[in-house]
Amino acid sequence: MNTTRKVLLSLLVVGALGTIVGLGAFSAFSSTTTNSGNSFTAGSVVIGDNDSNLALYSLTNQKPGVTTDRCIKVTYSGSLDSTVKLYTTTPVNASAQYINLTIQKGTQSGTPSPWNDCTGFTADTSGGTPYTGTLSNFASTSTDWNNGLAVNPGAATQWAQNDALVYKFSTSVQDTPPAQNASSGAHTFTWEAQNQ
Amino acid sequence: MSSITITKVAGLVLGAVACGFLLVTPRISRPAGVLDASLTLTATPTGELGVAPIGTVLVARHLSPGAEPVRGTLVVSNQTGVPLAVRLRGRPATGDLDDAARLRITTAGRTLFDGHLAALRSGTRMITIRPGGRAPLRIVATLRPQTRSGFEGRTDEVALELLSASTGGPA
Repeated sequence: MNTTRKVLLSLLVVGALGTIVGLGAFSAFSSTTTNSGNSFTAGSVVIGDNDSNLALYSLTNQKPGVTTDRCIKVTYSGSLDSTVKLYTTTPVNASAQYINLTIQKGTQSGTPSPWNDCTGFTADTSGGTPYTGTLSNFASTSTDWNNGLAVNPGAATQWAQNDALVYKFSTSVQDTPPAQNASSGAHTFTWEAQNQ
Repeated sequence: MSSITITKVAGLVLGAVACGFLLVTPRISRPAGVLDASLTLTATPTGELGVAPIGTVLVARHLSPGAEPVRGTLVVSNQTGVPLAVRLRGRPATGDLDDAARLRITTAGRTLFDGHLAALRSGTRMITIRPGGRAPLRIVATLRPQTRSGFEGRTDEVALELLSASTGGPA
């Protein structure tokens, strides 16, 4: 083999091997960047109470001048800040005009026993009594979201996740002859939360 | 074989070995440190059930295979007037640690859950809490010792959802 061919052959080998090395070198010098873990989740609006489907009050044979207190705890666990309103969608009997109703908002220390006992209840200093009147008047003026009773924990203007409020319902029958045998009929209180 | 031929063959072999060495060695080496996984568990009260603490229950910032387990306690209380059957369900935000992270949840010596984070989506065993009663749930979070990869730098936040139903027992 003459010198020229030897040189050419050597160059061929070097070139072939150099190409392989070059490919590896380019591979070693490459890099990437990624943006992973993207996700989208909607917020939630969740409200509940501690009645476990038991009536807040079921009172019979009430006499004038005696006030009965019952408490219920409402907890907001949604992730979105919300407005909460209280209303009743069920009509009450005409004689409910002789039943006084006061609704207070506040907190309660300890665990009440039974669940609707008001021992340890403390009314909020800010707007602690959002309603005073008759049961009949409440049932006719707070009937849905639009005219429901807006109540917030403490001095807050909205409900945030994990906010809780204890509502104290105080009822009594008026000391007047027409109030005798007054009966409200079964009625339902509704708490509705809507996100802001 | 002539000496020239031997020289040529040797030169070719040496050159090939040198090229092979250059192919292998100049790789970008793995970093010396490995990012640990991070897991956060949270809980919120419902109308029927109170929880303590509210919000963050457990934060495990340095989860890695073989690392010390991270522990937390969630106290669940029955705020109603009836006995409640209660169980927990996990809602991971991303699911990035579904297979790598492992949780064990016990109460009063009874195991409610012991398995992968993914399995917590189906829920734990049930416990009954009497009216006004409380149940402390002990939670232990670890990473599977056999986990070799797929956890580095991953984070997830799992909301512990409380589910309850009246047992129908006496109030």
